[in-house]
Amino acid sequence: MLTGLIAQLLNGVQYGLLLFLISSGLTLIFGVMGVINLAHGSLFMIGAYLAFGVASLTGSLWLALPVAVLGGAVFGAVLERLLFRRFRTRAHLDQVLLTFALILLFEEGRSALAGNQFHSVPVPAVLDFSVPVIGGFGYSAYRLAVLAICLLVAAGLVWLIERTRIGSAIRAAAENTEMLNLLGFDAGRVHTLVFAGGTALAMLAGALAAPLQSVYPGMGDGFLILSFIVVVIGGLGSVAGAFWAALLVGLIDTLGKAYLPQAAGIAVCAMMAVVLLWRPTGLFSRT
Amino acid sequence: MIVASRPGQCVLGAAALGIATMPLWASAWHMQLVSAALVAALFALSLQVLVGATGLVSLAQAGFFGLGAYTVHLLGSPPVWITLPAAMLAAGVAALLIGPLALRTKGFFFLMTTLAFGQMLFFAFHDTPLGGGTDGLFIVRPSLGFTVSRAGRPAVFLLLNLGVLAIVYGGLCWLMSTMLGHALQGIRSNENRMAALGHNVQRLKLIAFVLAGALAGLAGHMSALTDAFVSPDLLGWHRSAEALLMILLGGIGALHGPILGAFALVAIQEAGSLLSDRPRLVEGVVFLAAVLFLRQGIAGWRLPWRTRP
Amino acid sequence: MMRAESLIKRYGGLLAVDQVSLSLDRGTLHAVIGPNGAGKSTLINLLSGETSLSSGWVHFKDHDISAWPAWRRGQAGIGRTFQRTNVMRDMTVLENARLAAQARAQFGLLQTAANAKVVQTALAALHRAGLAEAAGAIASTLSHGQARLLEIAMALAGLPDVLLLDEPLAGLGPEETAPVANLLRDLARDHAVLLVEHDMDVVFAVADVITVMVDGRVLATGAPNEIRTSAIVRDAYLGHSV
Repeated sequence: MLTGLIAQLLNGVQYGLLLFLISSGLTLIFGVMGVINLAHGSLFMIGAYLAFGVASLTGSLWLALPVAVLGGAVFGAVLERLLFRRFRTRAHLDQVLLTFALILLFEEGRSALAGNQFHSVPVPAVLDFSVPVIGGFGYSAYRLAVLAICLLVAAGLVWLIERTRIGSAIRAAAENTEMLNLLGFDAGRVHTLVFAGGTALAMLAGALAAPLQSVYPGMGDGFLILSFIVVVIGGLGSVAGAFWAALLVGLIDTLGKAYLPQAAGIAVCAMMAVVLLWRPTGLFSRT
Repeated sequence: MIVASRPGQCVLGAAALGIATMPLWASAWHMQLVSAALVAALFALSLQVLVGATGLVSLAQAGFFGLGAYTVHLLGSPPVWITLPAAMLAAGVAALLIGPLALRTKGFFFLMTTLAFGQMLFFAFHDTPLGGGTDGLFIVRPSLGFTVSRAGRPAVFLLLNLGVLAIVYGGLCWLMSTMLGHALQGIRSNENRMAALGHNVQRLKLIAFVLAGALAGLAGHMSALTDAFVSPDLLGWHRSAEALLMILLGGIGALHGPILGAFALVAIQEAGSLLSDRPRLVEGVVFLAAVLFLRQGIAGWRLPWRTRP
Repeated sequence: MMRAESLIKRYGGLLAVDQVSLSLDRGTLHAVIGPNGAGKSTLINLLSGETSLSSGWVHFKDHDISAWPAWRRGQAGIGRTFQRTNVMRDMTVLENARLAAQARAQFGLLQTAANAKVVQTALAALHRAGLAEAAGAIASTLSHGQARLLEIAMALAGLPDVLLLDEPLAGLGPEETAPVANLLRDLARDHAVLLVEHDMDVVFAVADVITVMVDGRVLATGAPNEIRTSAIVRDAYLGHSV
């Protein structure tokens, strides 16, 4: 019972950290560019399929991680230059429909290239063992590795946002787009950078998640909804807020699914409702 | 909000008459197709109360639609004069519970919270026995008060859906001419100024949200009645996005826009599945083209009956 | 009619409005002047409910309305205009005025928007503001001067007891100023008017009472003559600008 609980808590934290990789991109893209990206969950799905593809071709998941990050950055930059740039100033409705169209196209592309079956990606052999944790039970070494990688990425992201010049530009842009030009940054390049970074993070999350769950059509959908809830709870444009909110949502969703499967989906939404009642702009918003 | 001018209403009326005569000349399959478009139009029209009239883009609408559809099943298919108001009531009450929370937020946050609440309704049917399984289930049709033969069904449901759509459209035309309708349009245009003028903006938005929810429930009810089938997918947010697309296709600035858009979308989907084995791809390309190039929708094409707001 | 006591608005460490008290009465035009950043617009926002008070009280008629939201104050009879034109841009002038009129009138929401009484009120307001002939124009097509008048007309169509006017003359040319100044004088006959304005000639010509604000605080309050001759005011404010 207790060991089971510890395992679920670890699962929850690890799930929350994956959620953070996705939602930090979502919150930054909206904060800096003012664009709603419903296709963000599909980017996660593409990352998972990319990992599946690379792993089945080369037999190495480790290769898939840099491929997902670099591929994601390039893909994101292309998407931003070709499409999202034009939608920065458009109505929310147009952004919703643009990204919904992208979801359909991405899912169809996935269906054409990889079919509609469920696939599984094997855990890398090096990490295919259990680590004894308190209470004498074993916990998957790969899950611990995912946890560590996510924490490293999160720390790197916080350092980037809080300590570097480009980070201060991103923070300034999240408050006011005009600020970028005042600070002497090329706003267009910052936008491309943020979008590419967000895409890379989402695809990295997909690649990391691939061995943890099946790779299947529409796998990004659940993540999309949860990341939206994370952004609402954490406050728009706040990376720190996204971090704590992602952990909270990850824990509640995981524990809910383990102990009360009928109510897991509702519990997270109910929590969001409580936050909205209490602080309509999120827990970590500046206003 | 552009309510079609007199010539425009004549064209809409003529189209309705044409549909009404379909039982005399069209095949059952065509009638079913048009029936589906009528239900889709009803659903998109319910969302237009929020999007076009009030300026609120909601992704929770499919939740209310599905709730209306499931009401038929959960009540055990009593006669239709019970299921119809019950479906509207259930969806309306759900909107009344969700609305005050979602309306605390604006813009992007409103989108995301309505998405989450819509998905909450989805999960309520997808993850629990309430929905009768993730693949959905066939239901017993409520009695209409007279017996309908299997062969007569397409015609009867076609006329029924047409009648309901006509009544709802007429009702909304009237609503747009009332003080409430004008106040909603004022909110779409400039919410803060409306508040400064003394309009209780939150209450007005809630009225629109609940009305839209109840009408979506009605659309869901007609869908369950027509198809005798319900599934959790009816509540998924993809359906809400599709309804938004119908509005964009048809014209966001016109009350009849969603009707045109629903027919256009059903036609596109049908053509897509006839012409290619990847209809979703066709749909995605059309969406992309529509959002890139079709800014005013079909209703915005320069036609002689277009009137000023 | 309307009384403000010890209003304070704090933004972080900044005191935008600091211990401001004033009262407005029917038939009196009370002008508030002061350099940019003195807290004049914030003061109007505190009175109209757009901004919430940090502390202090606002009384209107016999009610403590300090905690009322903007819409409730508007409905109770507090009308305002905005420094930057803030109207329903895609609607006609008449529709803008009608929305103002129907907010105040306690009609059922399901009555026709073309209700005779509402239209009459709206037209009367447009007429008084001198905008009657532009009634059918879309608001976004108005000239700047006309848009300023529409701001006033919308405030009037709500049949307010108190008018809070935030720089109604902003951006008007010399030949447009005189009729608006006359209108302000005329409005003060049957309303309690608070006027925030930078045009000193107009302020001293039309005001009954003038309050001078600097750095969020009231420096002096008095009749135009007292203000004009006050040494403190001249040193602190009029000194640099006149």
